[in-house]
Amino acid sequence: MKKIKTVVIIMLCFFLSGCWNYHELNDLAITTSMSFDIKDDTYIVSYMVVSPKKDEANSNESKTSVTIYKGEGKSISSAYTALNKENPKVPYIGHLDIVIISEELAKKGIYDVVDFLMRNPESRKQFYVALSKGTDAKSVLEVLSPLDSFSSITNNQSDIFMAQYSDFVKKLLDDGINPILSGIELDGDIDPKTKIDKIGLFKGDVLVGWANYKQSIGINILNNNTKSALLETSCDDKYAISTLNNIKSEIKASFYKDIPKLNIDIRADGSITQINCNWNLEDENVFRNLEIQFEKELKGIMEDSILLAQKEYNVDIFGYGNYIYKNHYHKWEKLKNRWDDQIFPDLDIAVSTKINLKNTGSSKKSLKENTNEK
Amino acid sequence: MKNKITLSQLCSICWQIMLASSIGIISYISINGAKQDAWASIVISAVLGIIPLFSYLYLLNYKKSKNFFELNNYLFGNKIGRFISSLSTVPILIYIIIYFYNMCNFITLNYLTNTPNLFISLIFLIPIMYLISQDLQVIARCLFIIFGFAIILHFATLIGLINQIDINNLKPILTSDFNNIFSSCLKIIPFTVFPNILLLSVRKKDITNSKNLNKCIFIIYLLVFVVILSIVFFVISVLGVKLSALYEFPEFQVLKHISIARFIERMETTLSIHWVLYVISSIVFCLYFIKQYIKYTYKIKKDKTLNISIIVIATILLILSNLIFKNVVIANYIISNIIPLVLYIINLGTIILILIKIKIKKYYS
Repeated sequence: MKKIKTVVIIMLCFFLSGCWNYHELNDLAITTSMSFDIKDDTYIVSYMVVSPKKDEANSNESKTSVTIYKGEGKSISSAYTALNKENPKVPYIGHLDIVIISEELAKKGIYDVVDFLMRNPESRKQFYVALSKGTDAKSVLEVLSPLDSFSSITNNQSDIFMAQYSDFVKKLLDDGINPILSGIELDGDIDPKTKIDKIGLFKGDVLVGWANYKQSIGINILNNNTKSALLETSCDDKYAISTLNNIKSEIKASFYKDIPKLNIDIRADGSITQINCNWNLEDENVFRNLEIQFEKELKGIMEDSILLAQKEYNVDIFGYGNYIYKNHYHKWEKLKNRWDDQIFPDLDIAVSTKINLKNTGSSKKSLKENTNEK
Repeated sequence: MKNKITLSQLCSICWQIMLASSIGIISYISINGAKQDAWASIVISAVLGIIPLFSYLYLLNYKKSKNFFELNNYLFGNKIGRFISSLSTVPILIYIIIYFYNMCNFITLNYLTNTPNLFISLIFLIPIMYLISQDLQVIARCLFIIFGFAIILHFATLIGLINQIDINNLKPILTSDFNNIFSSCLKIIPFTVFPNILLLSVRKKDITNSKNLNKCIFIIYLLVFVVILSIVFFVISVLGVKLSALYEFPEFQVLKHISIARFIERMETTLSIHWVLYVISSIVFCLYFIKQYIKYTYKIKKDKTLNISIIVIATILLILSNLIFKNVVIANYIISNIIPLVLYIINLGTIILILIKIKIKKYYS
């Protein structure tokens, strides 16, 4: 009996050593970025695969260590399957960093892409999602940073917020909120670089428009997506720049005959990064005046961003409807059917800003003022 | 001596059998039914669940030298007692089928997408079979080790997710229809409290330090509900209600958000292991219950015969789990709508019958 048991255990070691999903690392095509395009109702799916061997061989060279594969099909799944005809290895999207969706596809609706990524069990749903603006998504994928062998997009130092897939889907599903995605542009014809300074506004899953750089900063601040920003204001026909930190946006709602009025209170600490006019920064009144200037500037940006969403595109990208849904549920029940068409476009939103300038950087005075004294 | 079990081991078994459905089933029922008020349905089920729990504890304490099957024979005589015992075993068979299906579905969807369910079940069946062929002491020791391991993983999960919480996702509070909250609460009880009937397969006299038995089991019961509450709380507060309701296993998806100090990431596979271990433990103890049923109801004493019959039963149940739950849609419907009803009728029915019989017996004696 003991012999039989031993034989069975040894046999099991051979039979249960692996499973259907077993792949050697060498057989895997580790995908770091994906792009989705559409052309004449045909989906084009591309992905960037890391080539470890190539990277090792060219470690001292600035050559690429990635390969991009492209597949086309009438559906996203068929395009993804078509990719495998080119790629000799098994694609693995467990290490996906970023997904880029073309502007053209986003204008038609991106439920297909979202659903494909949602159902794929290998995808971790923690990657970034962005739009390609003015170019196809695959072209963005092809642009690599000279500092890095892989795509530099995910390590971007831009002050434009990059949305993660799960956050985007959450906003897509939630009541009283519309999602946003940052847009990536290609800068320069020869040796182009990626530039992220715009935000795409969605109504449901359809891209309806773009916010410019300043409006995008405003959207980020209003959505509490950023803690710091650079703010410029005029002084004596010149300019002063402050770095804002600890930015916090708070909403308070009041109701008159069931119609909401929102008060947005934005608070931030700041430090002067640059000042080009000869103001005496040691004078308390001058300093306070500068604070007021920055507050006005910030308020202007916020109001401009709100107007863009309210009047130009009629998309509640700030989630004010969602705020009412979560905090004033019974009011929301009365408003929800009219929110998108009637309430949000004419919603009374008052913005107040408070900037607390903490310091003037390493220098106490304005350099211009000192030069004039001389 | 071989059938002796310590109180802490019994508590660890209680913990595991109550949490075996915590992945996939409880969150599915509570979130889909009560939406963002899923926590409320869990709290109500914890309160209502005390009634069946105390019934089980009463039966466990009633005759110290008799287990559930011996008690049935003692109360109802051989024929009716055998019938009651057989009826009480039906929910256990259902649990095994559900556990097999749920575990395989979880593994297939999240770890091994191309591996057939049957193959996964077979892999797990081997250690289960080995463990069930051992006596109670060995089983209890193994399950106690699993319990310790699972507790560590629970804490790691808690620490990893704490900075991902967004309380706003739980709002608006108590706005779901009360009927939905109550109906999901009623559906939770059969998967959390009713499995405690398995504890009745152990005689009280076989439990060492059984002085504080009721108190300890009740504390474990409360802690289990705290854990279930924390699972649902983390799922909703991290993912939001609508996204949670969209995923097949939101508990697993939420683990993907874990990031400790921004360098300990991708831990979901490791952390989710304890759920698989809970299911294995529960299947083992369910099979132990059936083994005891066969032993005491049909008076089979030979270990070899008992083990063979258990292997046959487990294999049939494994195949049945693949046949009954043909796809996820059917499985979700059966698990959340039909099975709770069946469990209520059989489980509560038999327990009420036994309790009435005890009262009558006490009255006439």
